[in-house]
Amino acid sequence: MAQQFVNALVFGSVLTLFSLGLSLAWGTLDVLNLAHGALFVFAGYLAYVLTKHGSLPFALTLVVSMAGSGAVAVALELVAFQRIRTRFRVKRQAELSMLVASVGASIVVNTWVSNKTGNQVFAPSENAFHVHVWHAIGLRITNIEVIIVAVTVVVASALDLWVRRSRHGRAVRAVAYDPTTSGLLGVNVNGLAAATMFVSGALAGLAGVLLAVNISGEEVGVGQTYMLTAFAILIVGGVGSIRGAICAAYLIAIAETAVIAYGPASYRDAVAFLLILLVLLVRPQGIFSRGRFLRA
Amino acid sequence: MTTAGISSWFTSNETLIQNILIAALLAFSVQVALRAGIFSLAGVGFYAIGSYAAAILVKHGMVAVLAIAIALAIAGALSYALAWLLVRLRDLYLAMATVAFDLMVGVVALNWTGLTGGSLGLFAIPVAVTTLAMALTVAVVAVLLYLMEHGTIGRALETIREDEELAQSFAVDTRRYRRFAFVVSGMLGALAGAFHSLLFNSITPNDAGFDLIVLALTMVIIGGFGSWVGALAGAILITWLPLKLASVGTWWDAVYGGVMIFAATYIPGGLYGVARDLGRAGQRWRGQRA
Repeated sequence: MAQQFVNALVFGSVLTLFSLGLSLAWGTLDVLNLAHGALFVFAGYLAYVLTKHGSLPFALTLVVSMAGSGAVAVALELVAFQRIRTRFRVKRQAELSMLVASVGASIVVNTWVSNKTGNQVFAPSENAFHVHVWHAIGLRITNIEVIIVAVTVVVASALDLWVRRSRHGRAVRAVAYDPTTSGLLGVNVNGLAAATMFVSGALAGLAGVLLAVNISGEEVGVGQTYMLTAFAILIVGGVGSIRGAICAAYLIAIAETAVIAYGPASYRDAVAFLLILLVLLVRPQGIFSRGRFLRA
Repeated sequence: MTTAGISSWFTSNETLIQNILIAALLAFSVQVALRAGIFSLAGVGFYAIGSYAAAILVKHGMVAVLAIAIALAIAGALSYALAWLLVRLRDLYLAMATVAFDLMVGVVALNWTGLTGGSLGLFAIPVAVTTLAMALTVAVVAVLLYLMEHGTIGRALETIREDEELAQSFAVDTRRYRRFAFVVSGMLGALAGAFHSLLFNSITPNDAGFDLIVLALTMVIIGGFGSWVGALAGAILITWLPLKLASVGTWWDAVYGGVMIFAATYIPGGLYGVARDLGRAGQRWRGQRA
C-alpha cells in the first residue's frame, strides 16, 4: 500500500512536469501543442546521444537536453505559431491551424528520433547516472525517484511564483487575456511568446530526461501515452491553472496506480479518458478553476 | 484509352481506389463537422464502432447491406447521444473531448475480448462489398453533401460556423443544426469503418487509433474543409502520394509532417481554398478586361 503510494507520487511528479509546459502554452498562447510529447521524447534522445560518447556530468546533460527541446519549441513558434497568430483574424481558425502545425511538428520530430535510434528503446548511459536503491521501512526507493519529486516541487513552485509575481509573469498573463491591448501597452508579444514556448519545451525536456533515467528506456510511443494523460490533467485541473494542473496530475497518478494495483489493469488508459468526459460534463471549467466560464 | 486499357489500369490500381474511397468517407466525416464550426474528431471513434458492428453482424451470416444499415443506425444513435452530452463544448475543448471518446472506444475494443477479439481483432470476415458498390455509395454521399452545402441547410450551417449568436438571432435553431451535423459526421465515419472491415476482411483496435485521427485531420486540412471537394482531394492526395514517394523511404513521414506545418501556416483554406481564390481572381481579371 505504502509502496503504491510512493509509485503514485513519482508518477504524479513526472506527469506534473510534463503537463506544466502544456498548460503554460495553452493557458497563455492558446496553443494546444500536440508536439509536446515529441519534445519530451526528443530530450530523452538528446540525453542518450550526449551520454553515449562523452562523460558529461549528469546535471549538464540535463540542462543541454532541456535547451535542445526548448529550442525546437521556439523554432516551431517562429516558423508556424507566430505567423498564424498575426495573420489569422478568426481565433478559432488560428487555434485549428496551430493544432495541425503542432501535429506536423510532432511527426517530424518523432520520425527523426525513431530513424536515428532504429525504432529501438533508448536510455541515457548508466555511467552518466548511477541509480541507487534504498530499502527502508519496507519501501523500495531509488535516488532518481527522490530527485524527480524534489525537482518537481522546486520547479512547480518556481513556475507558479514566476507567473504570479514576476514582471514577466504578469506580462504573460496580460498577453493571455488580450494580446492586442498588451502589445499596445508596450509588451513585446512575439518575444514573450517565444520565451514562453522555450520554457514550455524545456519543461517537457526535463520530464523526458528524468523519466528516461527512471524507467531506463524510452521510445517514441511513450510521448503519445503521456500526451493523452496530460489532456486529462489539463481538463481536470482547469486550462491555464498551474496549481490545478499540479493537483490534477497527482490525482490522476493515484487513480491510475490504484487501477493498475487493484483493478482491471488493462483499463488503466480508460481512467484518464473517463475523467475527461466526466469533468467536461459536470464542471467544464475544471475542478480547481475558480475563473468564470469563458469557453464559448 | 480502350476498354481493355481502362480495365487493366483499374485492375492494377484497384487497391489504391478502394483505399481512396474509404479515406474519402472518413475525410467527409471530419469535413462535415468542421464546416459547421464543430471541431469534432469523433468520426474516428465511429469508424471503429461501424467497423466492428458490421464485421460482427456479417460474421453471424447477415447480408452486407443490412449489416451496414444496422451499423449506421447504431452509430447514428450513439452520435446523437454524444451530441447531447457535448452540447456545451466548443473549439479545442470539443476536439479534446472527441479525441478522448475515440481513444475510449479503442480501449473498449481492446478489452471486450468476447465481442471484439481483443488486441488480435476480428479476422476472416467475409468480403462483402465490391469496389463498384463503394464508388456508387461515395458518389451518392457526395451528392448529399453537395445538397447540405447549399440551400437553407448550407447557409444555416455556414452562419453557425461564422457567428453562432448571429444565427440564433435569425431564429436558426443552432443546437438542432449542430446535432444534425454531428450525427451526419458520426454516420459517415461508421460507413467508412464498415467498408474497411468488409473489404479488407479484418479489423484490429490499431486500425482506428491515434494515427487515424491524425490522418483524418491531415486529409481535411490539406484538402480544405470549405467543401466536400476539398476533403475528396485531400483523401486522394494523402492516399496516393505516399505510394509515389516510397523512394524517400523512412523519411517520408518527416516530409509529410513538414507539409502539414506548411499547409496549416500558409494555406489555411487547403487546396480547395487555393482553387477558389484562383477562380475568383480569374473572374476579376476577366471582369476588368470586359
